[in-house]
Amino acid sequence: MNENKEKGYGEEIQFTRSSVVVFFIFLFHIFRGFASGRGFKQRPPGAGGNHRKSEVDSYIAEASFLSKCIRCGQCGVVCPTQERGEETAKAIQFCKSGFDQGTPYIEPRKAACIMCVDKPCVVACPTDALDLGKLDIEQSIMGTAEIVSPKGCLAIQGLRCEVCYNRCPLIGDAIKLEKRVNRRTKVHIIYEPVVDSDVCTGCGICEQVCIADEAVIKVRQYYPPFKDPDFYKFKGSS
Amino acid sequence: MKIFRHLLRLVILAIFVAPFYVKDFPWFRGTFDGSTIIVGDWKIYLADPFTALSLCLSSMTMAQELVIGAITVFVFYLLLKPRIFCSWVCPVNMLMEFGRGSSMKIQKTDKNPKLKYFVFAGFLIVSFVTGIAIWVPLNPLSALVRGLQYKLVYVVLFVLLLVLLESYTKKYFFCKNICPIGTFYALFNKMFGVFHIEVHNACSGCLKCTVDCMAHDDLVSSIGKAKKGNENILVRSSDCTLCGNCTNSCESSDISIVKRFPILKRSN
Repeated sequence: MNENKEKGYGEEIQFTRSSVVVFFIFLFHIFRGFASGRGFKQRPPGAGGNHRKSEVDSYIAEASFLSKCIRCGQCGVVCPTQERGEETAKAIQFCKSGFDQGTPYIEPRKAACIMCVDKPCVVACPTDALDLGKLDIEQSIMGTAEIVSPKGCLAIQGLRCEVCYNRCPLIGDAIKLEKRVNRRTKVHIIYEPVVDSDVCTGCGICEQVCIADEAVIKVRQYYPPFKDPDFYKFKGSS
Repeated sequence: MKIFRHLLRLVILAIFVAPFYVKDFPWFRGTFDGSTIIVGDWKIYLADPFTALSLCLSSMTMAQELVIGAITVFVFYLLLKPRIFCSWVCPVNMLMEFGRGSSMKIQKTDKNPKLKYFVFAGFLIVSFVTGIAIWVPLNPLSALVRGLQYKLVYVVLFVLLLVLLESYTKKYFFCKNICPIGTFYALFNKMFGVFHIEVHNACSGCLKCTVDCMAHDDLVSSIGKAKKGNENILVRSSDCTLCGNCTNSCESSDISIVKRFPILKRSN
């Protein structure tokens, strides 16, 4: 009796996974692939109305952003110029080819968003494609940082690198250091950087300053946590 | 006249491109789709009316600054003459004119004069259904400006390809039938505007003016009316861009640009 019940529950989950919701997310995948030609593009703050109050799935935010952006380039004009040694660069760049040619994006390894307090790009946007409401720049979601290759991270190997931790604009909140014992030597400590995706704005400064040859920490898509814990539950399976 | 038009269009193009090549140029920013004039603390928003319309349809929202800018631009052109945008502002039209050159083929009557309205409606319907303002990525106007701003070679080549096609066919195909910006202004071009083309009653009917004219059919029919009724006739056409080619080519100055108030005037 008990086994039969479990089996039924599993089948129901299987059914939902392949049902309309997942199908639509899959559609957004396809749409996104057509739209950009590659996976994730970090958009300027507030793109598609994505901020802490309305935590949107990044595909939906992207679709909403593309439907609103008229590619006028005003956000890029007002974006402050940063000095990178002898060169100067702006955080907001523009897609050069493809379907979303002319839409703004940020390549953090070249120049990350420095999170201006007066958010000039959001103010300059005439179409609400970049929309933060009345929230601060700290409430925006451009993505979320993620340690993509922990084996390359110096801090996880046991050295006290912590550059991303120290340069993070929300220092101590977005990237936290978790202490644990270094198992190799058994006397030393490891300060492992851990990203809190509920706080991280995805500005990309950690990716920019990462001292590894290819950035170990990168900005990735933000998926909001399931607010409804009963989302996958069914009435028959109590 | 032609030189004035080219100069004006070059100056406007230069204003759009200037912030990227001149240091400290804080008075203007944007492309033809949407831009801002900044005078001190004041900001004047400008936007392309068709882009604003298709964007409202695609995103189902009314962005305040965009709508204000679109209405500003639209009223400005409505007062002068809606389609002067094509021959006095649009840089792609200028390139098209260079592409066509001075030696024109003799125009034939347009077989499907309603094609542009179907294309126009198609752009709006597609942007409503798919949720992407489909004209925005295809727009050669702002693509040209963007290509010059950010030095994108491929984008400029895309525009030059259009010009090459135009120089081969010499039929105003893109400007007349495809471009929905022109069609949007064409919707209001017959009724509104202060400036009009007038055919005088003394016209001999040599039809030299119709050789390099986008509103070929309407001009021919108004010349016929003027000769038949022996009276001055205003050319009422959805395609007349007030470019002044007809007044330049007329040898006896029997066709001219006139001011007519009130602007709303249905018949003569």
